[in-house]
Amino acid sequence: MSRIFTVCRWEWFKLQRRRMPWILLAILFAFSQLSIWGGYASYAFAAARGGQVLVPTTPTNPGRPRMVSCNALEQDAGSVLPADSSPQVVTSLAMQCQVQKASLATRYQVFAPAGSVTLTLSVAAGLGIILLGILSASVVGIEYGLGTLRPILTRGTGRLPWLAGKYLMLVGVTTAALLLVCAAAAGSGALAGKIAPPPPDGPNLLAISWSSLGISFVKTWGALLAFVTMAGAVTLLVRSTAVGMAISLGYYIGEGILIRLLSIAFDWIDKVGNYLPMRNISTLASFRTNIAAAVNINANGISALHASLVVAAYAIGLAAIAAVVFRRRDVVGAVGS
Amino acid sequence: MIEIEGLRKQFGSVTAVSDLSLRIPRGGVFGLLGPNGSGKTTTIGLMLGLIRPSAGSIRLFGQDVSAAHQQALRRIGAMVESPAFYPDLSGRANLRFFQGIGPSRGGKSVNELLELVGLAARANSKFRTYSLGMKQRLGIAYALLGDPELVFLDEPTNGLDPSGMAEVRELIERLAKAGHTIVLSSHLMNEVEQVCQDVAILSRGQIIAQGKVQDLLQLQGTVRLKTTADERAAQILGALDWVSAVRSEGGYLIASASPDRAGDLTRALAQQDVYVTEMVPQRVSLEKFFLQVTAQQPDAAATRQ
Repeated sequence: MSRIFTVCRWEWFKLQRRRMPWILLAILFAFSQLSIWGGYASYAFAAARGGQVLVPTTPTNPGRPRMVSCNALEQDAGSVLPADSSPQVVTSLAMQCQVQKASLATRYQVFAPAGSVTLTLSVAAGLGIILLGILSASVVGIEYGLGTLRPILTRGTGRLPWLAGKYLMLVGVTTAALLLVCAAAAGSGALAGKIAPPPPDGPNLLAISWSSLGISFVKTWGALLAFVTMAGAVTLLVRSTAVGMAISLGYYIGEGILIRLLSIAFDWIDKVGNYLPMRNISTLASFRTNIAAAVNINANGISALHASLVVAAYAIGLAAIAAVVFRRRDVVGAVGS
Repeated sequence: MIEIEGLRKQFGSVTAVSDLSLRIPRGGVFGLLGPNGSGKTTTIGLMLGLIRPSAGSIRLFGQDVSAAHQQALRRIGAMVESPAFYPDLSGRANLRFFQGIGPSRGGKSVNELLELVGLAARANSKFRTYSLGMKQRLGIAYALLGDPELVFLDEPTNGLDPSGMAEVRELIERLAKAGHTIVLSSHLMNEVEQVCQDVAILSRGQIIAQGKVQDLLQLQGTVRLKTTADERAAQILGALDWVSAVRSEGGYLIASASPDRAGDLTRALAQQDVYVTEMVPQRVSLEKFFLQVTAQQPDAAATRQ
């Protein structure tokens, strides 16, 4: 066990000196922050104007329809609307403004601390999987690309401790990256919540509990780790970073498309999809706003337990196959053939 | 220190190593000589556990490597094929990494090793900025991490200029004197002849000659001489069991015998009233010896299929 931790420590020593992981982290961080501040900007704009409605043209006011702020409409509808606007249009616009004002409370929650973490988890579940797939393939495949597997193995570390150490380091990096972007998101959310105008009273459709957020964090973390494990195992089997990356990410994108296309012809294919890795990873990583929804059946008809079991089976199975093959495989250069 | 019996490695239809038996004694420098593609690196890979043998056994430090491979590796340092390191790490960081992942065995510090191989001034430069010679030196420093008892150096002077090659040879000799056992793989005959005490010559995956360098060279040595009666001398020499052949060439007799036995040869002729008027003992170089023994090998295609 101590050898695994030693390898893990020195793999981190090596990784932190590369630019690639910091670039990937920066991308994840940037997208997370963009989504939070984008939500803030959208809310601030809507809150300042009380919403916006599209005023249709009338016979006396031809031309193009124009946007009008709800605040202006409320203060002096007569000066904003064309004189020949029908009462139905006026009523409709007033109702639209009411709906928009009522949604401000929900829109505020999108970037408030709990909401900002939710947004970040969504970014991690989508973009993060791709970034971690790249990282995992790169970390596992680098030794093949550079030919450094020979000097590593001749140091007497042992193949399986080396592999386990690499995986442990990837687990640590994934966890740290997720915690970091979530913490940054919570910080940004708190700041945005302070500087944003307070939301008017209204229904909060995005009532996020911290406990459901915790469950979602764990599920997203599990989904990311499963994909990291799978991408690493595939890279180890094919002995190439580029090929491992291409297969992992290609499958990540392609599984859903393929299932959708095939299920047009065969209904039962969709059921098969419930046992394929990516659908289950997506299910695991999808966010639910309350505990009951977080652990129960989702839109695909897959429960969180089902998704966890399928994802774990694929991750453990692939990692075990890769480890067995790696343990027995020759590390050769030229064979004189 | 190393005992190999009946080792064979098959890569598909290619037999890279065939029925190889070898004993490498403790101490000194052992040369593994052979042309490119002769199986030297595969043999080293088999000894280091990088490659699994198709048949045969390997014992390192008296233990079968299939059972106690990791323990054996902790006493070994190796630079196999070209030196491969992380391009974005400095020479020092690379050595620290490899020192870190291996078992702690003491020995020289990273800085001392960098000093030893003459890389101290460039220790903080990234590996990708190193010349081929500097990469080789870093590879040697890597092989010496943890003060190993047994050091494998696979073509360590590749890419070095003549002065660099001389420095590496000097370093190898120093290491051997300090008690390390060095296994040096090379296709440079001159290099092996200069630093190795024992040698095994591989060709097409088989050992075709093995022994002390001096013994092997003496076996192929000749004595060129002129006598008072060349025909009679040829008959006398041909009857001696330590002279393998006698021929006449350019007015001289060429006796295939160890140059060290020139005195015995003179005495044998004088006892029969034939006197030597001119004599030149001729040693062969390892290169010539190598070319002679490899020329006797059957066609490559026949052995590798």
